[in-house]
Amino acid sequence: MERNLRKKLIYTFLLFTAILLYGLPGYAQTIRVSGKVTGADDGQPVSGATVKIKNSTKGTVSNSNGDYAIVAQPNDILVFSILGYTTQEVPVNSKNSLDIKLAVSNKSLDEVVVIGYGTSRRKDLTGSIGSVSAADIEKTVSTTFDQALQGKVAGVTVTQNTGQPGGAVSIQVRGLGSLNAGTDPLYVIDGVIIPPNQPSSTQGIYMGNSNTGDNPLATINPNDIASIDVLKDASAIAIYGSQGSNGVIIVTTKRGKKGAPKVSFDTYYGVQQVSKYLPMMNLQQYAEFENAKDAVTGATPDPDFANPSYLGQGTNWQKDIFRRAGMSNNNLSVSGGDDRTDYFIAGSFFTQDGTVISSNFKRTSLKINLDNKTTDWLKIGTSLTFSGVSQNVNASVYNLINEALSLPPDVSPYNPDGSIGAIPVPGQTVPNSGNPNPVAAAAINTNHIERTQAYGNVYGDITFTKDLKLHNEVTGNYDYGNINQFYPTFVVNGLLQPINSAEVTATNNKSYTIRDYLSYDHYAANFNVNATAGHEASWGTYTYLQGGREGFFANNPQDLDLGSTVATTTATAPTNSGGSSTYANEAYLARVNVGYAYKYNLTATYRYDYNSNFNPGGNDQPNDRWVGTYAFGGSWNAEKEDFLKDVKQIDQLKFRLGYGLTNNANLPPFTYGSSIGLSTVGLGQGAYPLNIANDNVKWETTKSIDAGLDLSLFKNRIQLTADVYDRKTNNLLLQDPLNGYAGTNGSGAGGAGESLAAPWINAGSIQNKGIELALNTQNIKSKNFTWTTGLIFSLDRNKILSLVNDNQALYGRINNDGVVVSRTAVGSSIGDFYGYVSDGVYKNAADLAASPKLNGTGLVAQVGDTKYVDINHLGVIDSRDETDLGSPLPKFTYGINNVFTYKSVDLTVFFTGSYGNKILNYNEVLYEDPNSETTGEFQGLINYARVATNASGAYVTNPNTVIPGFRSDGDPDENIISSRFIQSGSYLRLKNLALGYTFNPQVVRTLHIHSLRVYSNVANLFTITKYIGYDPEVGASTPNQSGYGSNALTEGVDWGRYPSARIYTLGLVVGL
Amino acid sequence: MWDCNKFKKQSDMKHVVKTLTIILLAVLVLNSCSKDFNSKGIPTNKLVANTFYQNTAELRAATANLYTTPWWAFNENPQADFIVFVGDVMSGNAVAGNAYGPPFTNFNVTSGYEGLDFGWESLYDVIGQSNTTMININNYAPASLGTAKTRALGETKFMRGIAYFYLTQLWGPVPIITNSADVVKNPILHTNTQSDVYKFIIGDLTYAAQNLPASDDAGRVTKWSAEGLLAKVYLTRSGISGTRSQADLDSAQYWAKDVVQNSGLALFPNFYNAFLTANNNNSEMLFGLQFALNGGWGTNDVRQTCIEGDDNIDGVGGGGWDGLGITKDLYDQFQAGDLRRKATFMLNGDIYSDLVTTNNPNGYTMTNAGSAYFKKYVDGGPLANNNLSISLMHDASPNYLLRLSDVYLVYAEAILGTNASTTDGQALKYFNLVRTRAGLPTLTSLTWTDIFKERRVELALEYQFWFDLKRWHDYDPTDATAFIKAQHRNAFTYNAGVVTEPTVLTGVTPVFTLPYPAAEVTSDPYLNQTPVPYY
Repeated sequence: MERNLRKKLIYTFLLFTAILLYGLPGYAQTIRVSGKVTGADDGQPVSGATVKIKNSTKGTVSNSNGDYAIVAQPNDILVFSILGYTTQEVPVNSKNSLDIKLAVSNKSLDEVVVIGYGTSRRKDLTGSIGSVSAADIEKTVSTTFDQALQGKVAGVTVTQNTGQPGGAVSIQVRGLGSLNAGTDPLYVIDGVIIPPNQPSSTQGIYMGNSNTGDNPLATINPNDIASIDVLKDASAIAIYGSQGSNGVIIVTTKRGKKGAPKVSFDTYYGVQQVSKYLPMMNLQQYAEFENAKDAVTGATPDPDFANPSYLGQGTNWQKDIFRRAGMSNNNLSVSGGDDRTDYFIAGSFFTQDGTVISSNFKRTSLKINLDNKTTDWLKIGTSLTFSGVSQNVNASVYNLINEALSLPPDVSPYNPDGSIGAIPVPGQTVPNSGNPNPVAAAAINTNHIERTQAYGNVYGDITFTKDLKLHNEVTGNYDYGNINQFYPTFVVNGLLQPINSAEVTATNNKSYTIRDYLSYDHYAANFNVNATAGHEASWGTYTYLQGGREGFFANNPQDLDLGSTVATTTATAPTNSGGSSTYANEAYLARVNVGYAYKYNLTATYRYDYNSNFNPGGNDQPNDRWVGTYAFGGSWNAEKEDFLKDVKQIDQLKFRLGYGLTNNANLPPFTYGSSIGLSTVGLGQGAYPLNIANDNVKWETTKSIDAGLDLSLFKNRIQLTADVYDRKTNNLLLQDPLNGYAGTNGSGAGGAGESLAAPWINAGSIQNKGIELALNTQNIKSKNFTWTTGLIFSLDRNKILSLVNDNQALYGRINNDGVVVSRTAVGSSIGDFYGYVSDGVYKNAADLAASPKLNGTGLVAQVGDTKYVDINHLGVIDSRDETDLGSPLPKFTYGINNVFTYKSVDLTVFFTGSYGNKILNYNEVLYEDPNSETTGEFQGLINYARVATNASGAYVTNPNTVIPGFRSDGDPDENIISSRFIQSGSYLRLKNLALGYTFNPQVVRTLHIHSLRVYSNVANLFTITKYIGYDPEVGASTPNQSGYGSNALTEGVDWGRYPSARIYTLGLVVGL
Repeated sequence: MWDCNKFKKQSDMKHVVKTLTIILLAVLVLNSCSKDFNSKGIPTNKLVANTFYQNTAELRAATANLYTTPWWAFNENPQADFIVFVGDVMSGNAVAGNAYGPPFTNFNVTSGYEGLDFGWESLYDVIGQSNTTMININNYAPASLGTAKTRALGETKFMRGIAYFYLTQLWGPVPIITNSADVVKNPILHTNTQSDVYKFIIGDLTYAAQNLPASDDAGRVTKWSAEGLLAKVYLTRSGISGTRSQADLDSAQYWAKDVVQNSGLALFPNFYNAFLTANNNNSEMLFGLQFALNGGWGTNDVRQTCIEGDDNIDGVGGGGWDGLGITKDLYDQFQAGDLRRKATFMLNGDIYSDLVTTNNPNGYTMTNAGSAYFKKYVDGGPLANNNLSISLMHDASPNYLLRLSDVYLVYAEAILGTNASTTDGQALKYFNLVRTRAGLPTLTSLTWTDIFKERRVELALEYQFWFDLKRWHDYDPTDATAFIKAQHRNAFTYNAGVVTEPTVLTGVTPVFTLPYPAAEVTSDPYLNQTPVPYY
């Protein structure tokens, strides 16, 4: 009742106003038109929309309920417009009531793009910036928002490094521009800079030999995001200076809009499941295999395997570690505002179990965004996020998937007596510590990460004149982490492991930024000037405190306090450690954009950056801490020229050109100096040199050029953005991968003072050249049916132009530095796989006699051994015959998105893919080797070379096999990387198949709600690939030896990567 | 909430606020150039080289590390115990039951064997740490520290010298590195000729002999450590050209003589007790690796856990990883009545009343007929060692790499030189001191074989025998090869004095140098090319 009354009052008022303003019209021809303006996307009222009568000055705006009323002639045309929606013209046609649905104009030319330290209209842009809207993110089922970027932005390659819930993602913007100095882009979330070299409180903390695989961006709720803008070329990046040299991803969260409170509730439930198991030998096959092996090696056959046909399937460890796992998300947001204050408040709870037992991820987040127009010259506001993440990372820490493959089928997860099953070791009286089997490791151990993060900003904008504004901002990021580990006592094969131990790490990562900039935006009839000048300073500290104890009375409770306080016969003394690091950045920045006639735009950017990671100078040394970054860009809106003005088909034809220099400071602090470490050694207090210093280490510099085209045709039904770029990075920052004789390689024991840390140096240069395309088309646009297509194509060619010297190459090593998997040399791209080319096996005695043999193994080659290709034709196979085996980097990646809507039903079909990359299937190196120690074995190994003897000597009965035969005296192929294990990583994946139904607003109104949408989504429904591992999307999943940033040298090594699951979800979005 | 309209009305106020804001802004800009940004680049959370090495205690700490951590992977690594396998399994003194044993027994250690990297890298880590410490002391330690400074430099040179000595004995020509930072500038190196490597080692050890004190805290190397090692280096170098160099033999004799006659050091009276933890670093011990009993991983000694035959010996569980046992060949070397036998290995029926554990209050009785266990360096658990907190992977006695009796025998061998036998009084005196302590009759004339056999028995399971074989092979490859081929490199059973051999392993063809680690060759193909001169 009251509501109606208010509406009536408003209408009366509006009518009254209209009469007052426009005088008394000819009453016979005028009619009063009223109605409601709603958004086509969500059915929510649109307030503040301008309603004008075409070719007149008459107009009004919609109120907070979206209602409007205007007096018009029966044959007038009403024009509805508001930023963010497509302008719509509607003839009155003598109607009194016109309800208008405004289409959201995501890609419209009026789109406002976040460019860093300000915004710009897309049509004024000179740089290359890709954007993703909230709508795009919502269509994917993503634990973290960075996963949602995959296939959405041209030039951005997103690879999920693990399928672990909340797991890390590696993102490359325009290829790998750096070797070891980190290739992750800079993330700026509501002004809060998340430095790429210190991403989160718990990342980079290693447990055992494994990465926890957690994601620094996991605390961010994807539902809160309004838009993501990716700055790609130098002219866009330069304003971020040294921090942005690998691209900048700017995340803007949702903010309130003036109007009645909008309440939105999103919920979904999903089920995840791995899509395949790898074919491992079952017990019968394994027994036959082992018997055959024992017959050759002379080992005593296992009596249990005497008659394999009596045996069953045995243990398929994959079935024991994988599970069907649930996930759910609940998100509630309220937004709105009045004349002065807008607000957006959201809370969410997300929980996901992993498809590998014990892994899980939970996130609770609270988001508050407030904007207040305090006076007509002052606007203040804040964005605050509080987030908590809780994760079980047993799967990564124990590399459970690799462990599952490593165990033979004759071992059970648990023995009949309840003790844990493991490969028996004769004579053993106490089980080995660590990880007896993956099922038990997942069940009994604790490896738990807790992160609590609060970040946000407070800003005050001062308007001096219409054009001149000052933005002041303070941001803070408080990221607290806890890593709790507990390793219990347990019984393996009847043997008690008597030691239990706990280790707790508390981390604290804080950073602050103060940012002030003055902006001047002047738009005149024929030209525009946009200028920004400012200053920014950031500080960060990272501290950690670690404690460990052994000898707990019981396996529960596990608080550190309950362990032994002294060393005992079984327990070692409690341990503790701690440390801190700090960094500081400072910058002065300026940008000027000048436009003439809205056709020509020129942008110049300069930033002067300070970074504390470099030598401060003094003592006859130069100060390397300050560096200048600059860029220039220009654009030409050709469609505005006279010769194109009348071509109606062309809405936009814009050419862009940019050039710039950016710098990278991604290296640990104080590598320019030599540090001393302390440890307790046999003679008491020890001190040791920590590193090889390089007082001359300098900024990595990248010069890049970008040329782009924006084309829009047929009333924006075809929109194309194409860019070509050439990006050259010099003075590459990397930790010199020196040979062992430099004293820089340790045993992996982690003993402090064992070896020197290799120096960080500037060496060599890399070039990335590429093409990127984004094509959006509206293929069908009719009243009831629309079909739109989005195509994203990214091609990058990476090439090493030079290194320290031309002979030198960089080697990527895995497995405690023991196995070289890649070689990065001049002329190749980063991280090319490296090893021998295998050419089947020695087929018979004649073949063996005629073929070169592997040197240096100490073993005499025999028929059935792997035959390697003698690349250098020296008649012997040795390290000089190792060669480039292909690149883990894709030739191109792509995304194809099709959206169909029919009345209220919408269907999204989204494919992503990668082409031309290679994968090193390290699982096969380990489990497809007939002469390795006892492990689980791939079924493919059944086709090992079977050696028989006839009159002319030994021969292989299955001569076309590529797998060697058994030997009695050692394993010549142990850890040898060869072409046999390099496989194609190309794939095409149906990433998302989503079907949604939006209920008719009239119908749902009877339920007292504004809007209702239900949807279902299948993620990763199928993947077309030749790769025979779990998942061709491998990325940088192999634990990185330096523990610092992403390691470009060991990409694409599949060593039991946690596969991405197929996810079925059902969801509901309710607008109240 | 204040009333914003008030500000609107008060336009003066508006200007004041604006002005204040601008001032505030200026303050922020200027403030950020505070001390955080203008620090001299020395972090507050780290010790740095420029300000370290300033007093004796800091120098002592800097050299203390060189006895422990860089040696860790040489002593033990994820692929078995490098030096035990090289020194005693490869030489035919022992067999190992784990996967890493057979390649050493059969001389087919491949270049891809990861344990090789660990041995190589560990020795180069010793060199890298020694080099850097040496350079830092030279650059930053004040001259006023006097002999404390030269003593510390002497320690670093000793460490570097012995590391190169092991490297060149195992791999032959190796690259000489004196500063890891040089490798940064020139990352791909050729190996240097073996003769130059020896010259370099001798230079280091000569400096150490001149600058180390005659006595120091227990466990620290002294002048006598350096001289003893120098004698051994000369003795080894004497044969590397294929014929023995009398000049080198004379030098070996010269340095050994100084140690045996002038050091004032003597053999520990009881051979068995010399290796007990109660007598750690006694006067006989010239150099040992010093691990930390309660130290963190990487500073601990895991040797007992790995080499013991039965984890009931120490009662701390989990031991016997390597499955080590004695070969028939080593067993045969011990004469009846040799007191060293029981101190070196355990036979079925042996009773060790000192190896007391909770479960064995009267000591340990060896009952395994199928194997002979290591005893040397197997000292038992806490109860056998004055309640030292010995635990799984945490052993308590140093790992001796040079003993006085070794120098005695070097002395005798240097005096013998290329002669068939000697009756030199000095040679006999020190040779017989070793024999007498072992409870064996003295000899009146010495042959090469007498000394060779004595060394093997005296130093068995101290990793030295492989290097004796290698030294022999340098100047007499035929006999050294034949010797190894004749070895019974297999385990045996022992029952009340009756020895049987279930399998006999003889005729194994030896390989006298290890291959360079594959990963190292992959990154540096020059390693397999002709060595270049260093000098």
